[in-house]
Amino acid sequence: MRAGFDLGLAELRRTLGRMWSSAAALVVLVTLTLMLAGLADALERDSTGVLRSLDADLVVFNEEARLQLLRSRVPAPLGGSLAFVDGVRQAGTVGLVPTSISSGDERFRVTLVGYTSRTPAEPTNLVEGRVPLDGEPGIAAADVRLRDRGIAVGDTVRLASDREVQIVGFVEDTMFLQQPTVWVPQDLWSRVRADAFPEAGWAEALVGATLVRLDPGADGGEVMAQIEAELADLDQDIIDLMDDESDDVADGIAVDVVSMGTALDAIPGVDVQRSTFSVIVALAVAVVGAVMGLLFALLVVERQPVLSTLRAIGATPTTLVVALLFQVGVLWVVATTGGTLATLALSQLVPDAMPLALRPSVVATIAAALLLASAVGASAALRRVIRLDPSTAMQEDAE
Amino acid sequence: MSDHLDDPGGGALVRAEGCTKIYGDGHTSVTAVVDADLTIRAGELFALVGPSGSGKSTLLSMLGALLTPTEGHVRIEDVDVGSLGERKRTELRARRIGFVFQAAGLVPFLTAEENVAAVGAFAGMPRQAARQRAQVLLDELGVADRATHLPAALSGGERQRVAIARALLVDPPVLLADEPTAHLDADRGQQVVELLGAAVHDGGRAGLVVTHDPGVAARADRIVRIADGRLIPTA
Repeated sequence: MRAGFDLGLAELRRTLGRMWSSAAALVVLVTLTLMLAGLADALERDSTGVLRSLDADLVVFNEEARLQLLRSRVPAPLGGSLAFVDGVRQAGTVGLVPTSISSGDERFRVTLVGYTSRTPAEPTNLVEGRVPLDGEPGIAAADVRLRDRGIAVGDTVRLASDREVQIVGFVEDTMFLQQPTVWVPQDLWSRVRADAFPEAGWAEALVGATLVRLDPGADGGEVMAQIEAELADLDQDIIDLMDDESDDVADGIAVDVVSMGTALDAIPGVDVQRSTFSVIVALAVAVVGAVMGLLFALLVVERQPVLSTLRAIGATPTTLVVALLFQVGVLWVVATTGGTLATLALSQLVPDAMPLALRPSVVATIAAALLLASAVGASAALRRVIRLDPSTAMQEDAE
Repeated sequence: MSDHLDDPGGGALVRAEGCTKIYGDGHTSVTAVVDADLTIRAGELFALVGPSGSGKSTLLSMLGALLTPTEGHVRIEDVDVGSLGERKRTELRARRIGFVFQAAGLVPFLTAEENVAAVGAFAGMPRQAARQRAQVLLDELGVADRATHLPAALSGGERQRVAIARALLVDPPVLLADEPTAHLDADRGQQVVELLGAAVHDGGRAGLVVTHDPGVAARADRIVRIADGRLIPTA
């Protein structure tokens, strides 16, 4: 082993020009890969933050909404009713409406989120101030992206319906479909919703979806089935809150109860976006592996006389493989570190409109994928090294 | 029929017994060495001469545990090389056989001293001991001042001296050299042969030199010709 490390290190040290040029090419490719991965991650997070920021396990949509938060309508009292279902620890409601807010001369497109406080519908990622409680009039919490655009705690912003709210806190990572969110109590949200869609005739007590947090150890599948069964035979008073046009009103509420993961995937564009970027990132990773493989294949072909001589004078295949893997590892470290630093630098230069975030988990995932791709790419070179015939040293000029 | 160059006397370190090497099979097979018998004793320098393609390198490779005979046996210090697995053969080469190649065969990215000491690492020698021994050998062979140079910065003669130092690092009982003077002028070639002769005679090693050069062969204790894969005794 030691001899392998020594050989690998010596070659790296004494062929610095070649290794640095190879590393530079790999840094460019890794930077591209990390940019794509960071962009994909940020796009997905900026689409799904509104749900991910909630401490909930299940989401209840009305069936006709087909898991779309903006289309779903469930009675507000549903949260209280579901709290009595076995396995449910707590439930709350959330409603979304796309709108805009004005601050001074500036206007921002946002998603207004109405929620029931101190329930799984309350955002958890508070970074400044506080979030509004139920019944608190005229106050709101906003996503930090709005703070980045100049809004501060204590500022009063005007909603599209000319209602004014004062910002009392900021939450982070709560974006929905690339728009910042503004979180207000449920009753204010209902009024804004009615102002925005007067022709819809929605009842004040209708909200978007119900968020459910399970008891520790509760079986999510069983609870889902139980909720659907309970709602199929629900109190008529609650059913009456539903839209008259609903076919489900006569016998109960037809709902879709899904896990948080399913609800996240159902957010428009998320699934397609993730699949598309996954393929692109996978291709970029494969290119890195191919480049690494080509580099070491050429190196082994060029070094074959030397490697044969080393085998002849007593180097084991393991020694030569360790030397090669050590070099692959060093190049991987240099490429990954350089690529990460370059991506972080570039992320400071890209326009604000372009979401690009390099979270440690993304870097770690890509780094692991690159290491695997590098190892696979170098496998042909490794196989060649393992199969070297030491007797060829007698026929070859090793220099 | 065997070419009987076998010397049954004591002190035999290398012994080939009826060694035949056939490459490939069927109609495409090539017989490189036929029924070769040969013994090299401790302190004896043996010269193997013959034209290109006569089987010299194949025989040397078999004696150096780089190839296994198709038929017959090669014994190094009474160990039948053919009975060893690949790992044991590699270990045998690292610890018991010193090689000197035609073009020195130095690793281009290791200094002269590192090239010599590398064999110590392959043989399991402690790093410091290998470096010290490498320095001593380079000094004895007159290239101590080139210890930190890469092979590209050495002359042909210096490279071969470094290669001899490398071959002697672990004090192996067997020394095999393949055309060690082929790339050297007459004077430097002569010096290299003298160094090899001294390493064999003074160190009590069994030495085999493959050469085209009659001058090199003349310095050997015994000479054998090889033609068409068959050994031919020379007076």
